[in-house]
Amino acid sequence: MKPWNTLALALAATFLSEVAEGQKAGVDEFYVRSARIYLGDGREVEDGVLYVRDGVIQSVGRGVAVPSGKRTLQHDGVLTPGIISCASNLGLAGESGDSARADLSEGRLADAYQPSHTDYAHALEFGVTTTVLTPSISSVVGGSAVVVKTDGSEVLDRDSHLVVSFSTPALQADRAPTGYAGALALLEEHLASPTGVWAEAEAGRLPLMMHAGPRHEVARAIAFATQHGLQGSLIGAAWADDVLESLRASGLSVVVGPFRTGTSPRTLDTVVSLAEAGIPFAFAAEDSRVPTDPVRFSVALCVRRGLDESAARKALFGGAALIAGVADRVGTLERGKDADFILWDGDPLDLTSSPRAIYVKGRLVTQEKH
Amino acid sequence: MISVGWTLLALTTSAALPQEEETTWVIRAQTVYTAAGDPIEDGAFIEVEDGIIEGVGSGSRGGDGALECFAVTPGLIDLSVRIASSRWSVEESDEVQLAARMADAVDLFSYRWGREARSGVTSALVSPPDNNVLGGLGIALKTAGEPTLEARLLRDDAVLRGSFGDYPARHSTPNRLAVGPPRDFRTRRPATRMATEWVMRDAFYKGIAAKRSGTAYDGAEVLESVLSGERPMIVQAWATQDIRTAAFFKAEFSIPRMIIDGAAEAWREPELLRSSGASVVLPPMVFGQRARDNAFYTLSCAKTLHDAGIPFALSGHGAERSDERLAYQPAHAMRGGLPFEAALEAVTMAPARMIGVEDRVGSIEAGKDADLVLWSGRPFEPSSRVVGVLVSGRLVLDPRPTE
Repeated sequence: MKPWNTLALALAATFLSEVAEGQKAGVDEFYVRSARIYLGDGREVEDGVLYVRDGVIQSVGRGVAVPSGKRTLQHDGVLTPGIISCASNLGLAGESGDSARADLSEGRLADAYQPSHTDYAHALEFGVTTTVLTPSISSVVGGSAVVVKTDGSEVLDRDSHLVVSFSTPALQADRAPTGYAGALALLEEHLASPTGVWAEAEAGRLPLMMHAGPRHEVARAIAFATQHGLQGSLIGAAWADDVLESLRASGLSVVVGPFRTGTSPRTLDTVVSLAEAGIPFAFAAEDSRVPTDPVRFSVALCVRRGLDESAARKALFGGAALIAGVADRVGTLERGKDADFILWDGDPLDLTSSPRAIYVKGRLVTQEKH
Repeated sequence: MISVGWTLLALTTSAALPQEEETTWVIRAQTVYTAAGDPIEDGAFIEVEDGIIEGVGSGSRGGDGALECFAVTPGLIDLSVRIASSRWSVEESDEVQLAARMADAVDLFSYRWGREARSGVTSALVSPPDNNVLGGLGIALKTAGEPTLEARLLRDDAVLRGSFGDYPARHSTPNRLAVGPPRDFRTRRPATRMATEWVMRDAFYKGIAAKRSGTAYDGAEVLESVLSGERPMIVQAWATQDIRTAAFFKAEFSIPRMIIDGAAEAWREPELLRSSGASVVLPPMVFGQRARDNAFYTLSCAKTLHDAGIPFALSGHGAERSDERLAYQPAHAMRGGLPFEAALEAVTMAPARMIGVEDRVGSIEAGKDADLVLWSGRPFEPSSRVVGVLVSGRLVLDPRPTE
């Protein structure tokens, strides 16, 4: 299960000090030779090399030649892209929505984003280098999501998704709507003559993210998206495997989790079924009140229930980037993409593994002290 | 060790995959109560093909594969099933919701569908919860089948649901704020019977006035369909004063098809109900006789309605207690003097006619949906059990002994 743990312990102290020197000297290109590289799209390379210049990946693979005299890091462990979380309210507790308003169609979560919030540093320590920040579940239309780098360096997409909620927190006793039928009527009204973000969504330029919990909510969300030809993903969708056929036909993807030790096996098995059915999925981060490993814990629980490891890795990296809509920049290790990567002392699907060094755009942002 | 675990999981997953279900059967019974004329006694059979009743007759058909039981009745029809009646299944931002659709708020995945189906209820009218004065459009569904509206639909937007009595008022909460606007919608609902009844009439007055003046009115089409008789209106009314209100309401607005649901005290007003032309859905018999809204319910209520010639159905009214389910209600009604044939009618053809689905369900006749209940003895007897249920030909309760 964990072939790298003993090797990882051999992670050379000289390597880490070399990194530090490199930073000081302002060197803008380097090579990393790693015993194993997960490319983020489900593929892996044994004993490969990653070549980074000016924060951008130049090449990666087994056959990448390392010219002599160039600075090279030797890593006897696993190298992966940075982890991408596809839904979270990191750094935004209490600021990511307004339950008193059912419709925040033109609301922008980007306006509440505070890059230096400690939640992001915390997520980064656990290997999450990019996250989608999603408006709260408590409005029927929550507004626009935003995609950010957790090192605070960049907002990747200021209006990434239009977030709507089919869940009960969006139904409040002190404002309309209070019920499912009213919520659906509100959404239908937007699509009767779409303007603004809804026109963008209808034209296929702005994907939806739809909060939906129990199966009947999931079925309602799928029917809504299908009827109007809307693309995007569901958030939550426990037991979505019971509506697998309509889900597949809709072309929607699913953002699952976060899962905890108390999450029912039935819910975790849903993720296994999604993977087997080839439905794209990715993971949500823990919300900011829970200071724990934001994504990997959810993934590990699913792997324990039988989630294919390759599918799990895709959901952490490249698959997540597609759902987040930032696959042109992050998620896989390939030429032209940001050099966001993690050096692990073991397989990231194994919870006993840790990130030893994390890079964002080729810059060492966090490093474990031993 | 890990690989062993994965193998077991793989088996679990594949077992959960949906399988093509058998919908073609032959059923053999001592007696088939068709609810369409006299029962077929001394040996009868029913042939079911692709979920539809192909033939019914006396004698014996089918080989070893036939389903066998003592008696068969049509699947039971309950016009007052309260599944998914969470507060989110009703839109409370206004106590008048003519156009809110239960189809948009129903939970087809609820475990309670299975309980209804296995207890013999094969068709159900599900209406918005009665927190509102006018809750919107109820939907008639089969109780089993794929959990999609398409697969389960019997009649979309089948009825307009309303409620008299103290139920909408009970959901009114006093505004505890000394100053300022109401805290939420519930502080603004009608707080009494009189106000509830007025809100309902007011909605109709406004709708009719809007039609006369040619102005827009939210839900105008629904109102029109109720006033023309195209769509029945079903109102909750347990106590005498509310049953009277419902009858007067029907007369005032000349509503052709009015169903009074939960009418525990209907026995007090047989003449008024008969002359009004309303139909009645009776709630489950409760021990102690005080039903909801403090209504006084009698065992003889069904017999009284029967004797007066008032169309009525029995219901479980969403009872969670198994002894209040629909399959037990005919026994109570018969104990109160209702003839067997009338009791059978009250759980099959009578409710089917009230919502206009009698062409598909309600009796055992060729061409109708194969919704059947298989009994261990004479139906409705306290010592008889429901041993098998078919919904659209799908076996949801298997009468065959397990090996």
